[in-house]
Amino acid sequence: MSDLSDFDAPKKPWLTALIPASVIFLAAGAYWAFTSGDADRNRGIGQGIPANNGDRLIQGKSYYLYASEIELYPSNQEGKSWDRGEDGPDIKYQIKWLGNEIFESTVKEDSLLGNWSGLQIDLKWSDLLGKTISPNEAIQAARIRYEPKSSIEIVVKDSDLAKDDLAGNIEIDLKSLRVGKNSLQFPKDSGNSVRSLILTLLPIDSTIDDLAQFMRE
Amino acid sequence: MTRPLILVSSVLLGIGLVAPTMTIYPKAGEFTWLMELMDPESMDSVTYSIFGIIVELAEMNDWFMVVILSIFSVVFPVGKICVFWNHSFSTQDPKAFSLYNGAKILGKFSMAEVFVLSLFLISMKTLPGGTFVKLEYGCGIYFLSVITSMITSLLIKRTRK
Repeated sequence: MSDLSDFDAPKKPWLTALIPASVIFLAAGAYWAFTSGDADRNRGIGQGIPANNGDRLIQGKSYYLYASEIELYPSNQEGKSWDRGEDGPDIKYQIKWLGNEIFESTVKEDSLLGNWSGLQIDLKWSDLLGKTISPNEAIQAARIRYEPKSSIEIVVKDSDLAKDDLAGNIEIDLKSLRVGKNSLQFPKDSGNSVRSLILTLLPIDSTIDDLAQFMRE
Repeated sequence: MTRPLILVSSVLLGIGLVAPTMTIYPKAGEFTWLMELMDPESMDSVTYSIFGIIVELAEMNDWFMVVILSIFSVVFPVGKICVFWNHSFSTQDPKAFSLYNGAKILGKFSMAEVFVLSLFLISMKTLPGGTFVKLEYGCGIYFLSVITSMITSLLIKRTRK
């Protein structure tokens, strides 16, 4: 314990006092240099695409299904303008599965290109006093179960006060869809005015992180 | 024994200042899942080191807290170790002894960073929405640095007797 003596005292004591300061600085620098590479690697992993994006659907498993984007041709099935005057169509769509209508979207007014996020919460003033919202209520999508031979029907309409005009009735085999976004193009003919459709499928048992990742893409 | 201990304390202090000290996990009560969907980045957990907290406060222009934390968490502990190192070479020098006593007094003040950190942790733990703070290994390394520094002080005191 008594290894301290004045015998080996340095001539310039304050200069040697910088030694521990240098050690502190070097230790901090070495630690930072050693760990900054790991942080970069972890950042890369965190921003990756979820592993199940693009996977085939699994038989018997349930999925959320919604159209994240629908684009219509500039004229309707009869080759005329969508609405009187220069107004664009008021787009909405329905999803039918096994002959039943299982979902209807909100209306996107005066647009040839409608987008839906799959997430919507309608709050009233009274809800500010206290309201419980579950993820199931907020996710605006159809719920389907995948069977290889089953199909869905997407009915796209121009919403009108008197009578909705049909823009297209598209039947899609579930076998052709993948988890994530599915981009589909359609030619214009007398029975169809839908140019393109992006269908999003998310496994119902996804974690909140996965759902957030899918919806951000 | 004293000088190697001072060097160990220096290495621990250096690492303790930049290693992760705490991780904050933001929560928004029953709306946590909603916030994670709508604004996932704001709900990501954030890890801070002592140096990182000081930098963060500087970016927020909270210069009062920057000065307070810098003095108590960096300047005093580093200064104390430098004085101990200097004193280990000149144990009988009265000037060095007065510096050593000064460092001991400052050392007591440097314990204030533990107090500041504790207050910070308590304030975070009582935030609504279930936000919680987890201490990381950097906090332990910093604490070990304080302990080795205290042992060094005891060894020097014993040598002087």
